[in-house]
Amino acid sequence: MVLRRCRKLLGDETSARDAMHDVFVQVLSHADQLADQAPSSLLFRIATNVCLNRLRSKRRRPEDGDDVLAEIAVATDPAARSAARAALDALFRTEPETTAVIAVLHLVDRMTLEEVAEEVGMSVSGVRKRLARLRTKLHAMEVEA
Amino acid sequence: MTTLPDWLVERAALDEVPSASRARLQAAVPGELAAGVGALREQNAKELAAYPPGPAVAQIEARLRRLPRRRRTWIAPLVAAAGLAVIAAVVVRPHAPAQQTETTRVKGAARLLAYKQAGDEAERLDPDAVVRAGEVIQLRYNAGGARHGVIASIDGSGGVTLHFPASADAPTDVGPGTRTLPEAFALDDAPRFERFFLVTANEPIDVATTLDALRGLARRGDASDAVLDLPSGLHQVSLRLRKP
Repeated sequence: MVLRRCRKLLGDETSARDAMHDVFVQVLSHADQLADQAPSSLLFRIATNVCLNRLRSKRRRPEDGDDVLAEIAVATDPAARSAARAALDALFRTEPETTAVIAVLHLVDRMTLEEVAEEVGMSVSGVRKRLARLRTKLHAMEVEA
Repeated sequence: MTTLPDWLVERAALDEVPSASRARLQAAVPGELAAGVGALREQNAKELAAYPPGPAVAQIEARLRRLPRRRRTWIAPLVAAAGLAVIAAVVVRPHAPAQQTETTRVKGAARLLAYKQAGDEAERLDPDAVVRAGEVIQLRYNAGGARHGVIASIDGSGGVTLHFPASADAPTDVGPGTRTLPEAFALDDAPRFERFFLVTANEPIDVATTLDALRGLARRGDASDAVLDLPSGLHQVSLRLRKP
């Protein structure tokens, strides 16, 4: 499950396997601090975080092919995929990690707001506000561009 | 057309469906879930046959062993200190006889630099500088024109730590110029010394072989100053720091 998750978000096999190792290192090294929840949910969320951190730290070209940011860009603004994707790339470098995770769960994994809320331990309204703020910032960045 | 996302099929296969997803699962096309779970199990079996878990477990254990010494901290002043990057690293020629360690001080060749966090400043450490457990160290390196590099260290308790690349199976490509490793780390309480090695080559370096050589060296009584036994074609630079 973890490897499949990393493959989906990172796209290439080598990075996915490397990220999978990091996921289990995080789980094992923070075992005493982890919330009591379903193991699959925990692994899924940590894998998502690890992969997004890798994507965040990786300098990307504007047209890097299909990937997570491209999927979100299409979902938020299909008419301006390239600009939206570039803006998302910049935005995710400054937004809280949770916002990036929420965006991926909702826009890439197609989770409902209720499912996202349960996944990240927030209220539905909190999730809705984060997504609305993301869209607002994204549109503002596109206008500036 | 499928209506169940892959993550939900994964949860269902483990009987861990979130409460918020139960309605969606019940509304799915009959047979879709069973087909999805079956496909997952088939894929799991293929993965396990192609990639037995042993190497992955070893990799995870190796990273866990390194973890207490690492610290996710950037030492910002190092960027400013980059312009001062002229250090007298000990350069060792490959396959030189043991004990003939300090041979040439070369400026402009491959070099390894260590900095210690001192308040808000980064203090450059000379060879044989005295460092203590808990101090945060940042490494910088210049591969001297070589295309590939591995950075690892041994300590007075026989420990071996890989600093670059991030894992033994990661690429060893290094860029030109002097570069900073992405992570600083806190020294542990290993006694006597910490000795850092930069191994360079123009071809990809087998990290596992390099680590094996370091483990062999770390077990020796003269580990603090003996030459690292490497295959031909690999060059090495080392920098030793002392523990009180």
